[in-house]
Amino acid sequence: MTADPYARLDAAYLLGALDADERLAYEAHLATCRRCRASLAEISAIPPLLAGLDESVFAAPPEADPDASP
Amino acid sequence: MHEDEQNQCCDRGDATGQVVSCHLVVAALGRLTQEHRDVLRELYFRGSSVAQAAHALGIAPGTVKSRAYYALRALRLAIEELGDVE
Repeated sequence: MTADPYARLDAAYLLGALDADERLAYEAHLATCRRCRASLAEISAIPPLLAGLDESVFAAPPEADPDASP
Repeated sequence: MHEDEQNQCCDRGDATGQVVSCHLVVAALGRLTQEHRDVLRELYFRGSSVAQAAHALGIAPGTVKSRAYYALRALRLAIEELGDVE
C-alpha cells in the first residue's frame, strides 16, 4: 500500500501539466523522496522524444511496423 | 522507402543511450492504447494542463495524472522493445 500522494505525479510534472501549487509541492517533495526522484528519472528522457511529431500520430493508431528494416 | 509515414524524421537521443528515430517513436506510440495516446496528445502536443485535459477527455484530473504516468511508462517500454528488435 503506497500512500505517497506524489507517486503518480511524475508524468504530469514532466509534461508541464501541473498547476503552480501542485508543481511546487511536488518539487518540494522530490527533495525529500528518493523514490519519487527515481521514478521521475525513469521517464524523464521520454517526452523529448515526442518533439516534432505530427498530432496525427496521437489521434489515429499508426501502423505499428511501417517497414521492418533490417 | 515509404513516403507515407513521417516526412521529417530525425534521430534523437534516448533513454537507453541509443539513438531513437522518430519512426521508432511513432511505431511505439502505435502500441499504446488510444487512451494513453489521448492523454499524451492533450498534455504534450496541445500543452494542456491537467484540468484542461480532464475537461477535454471527460475524465477526472486524478485519472489524467495516473493515465499520463502509465502512458509514459508504456511508451518507454515500447521504445525499448522496438529498439531491441531493430
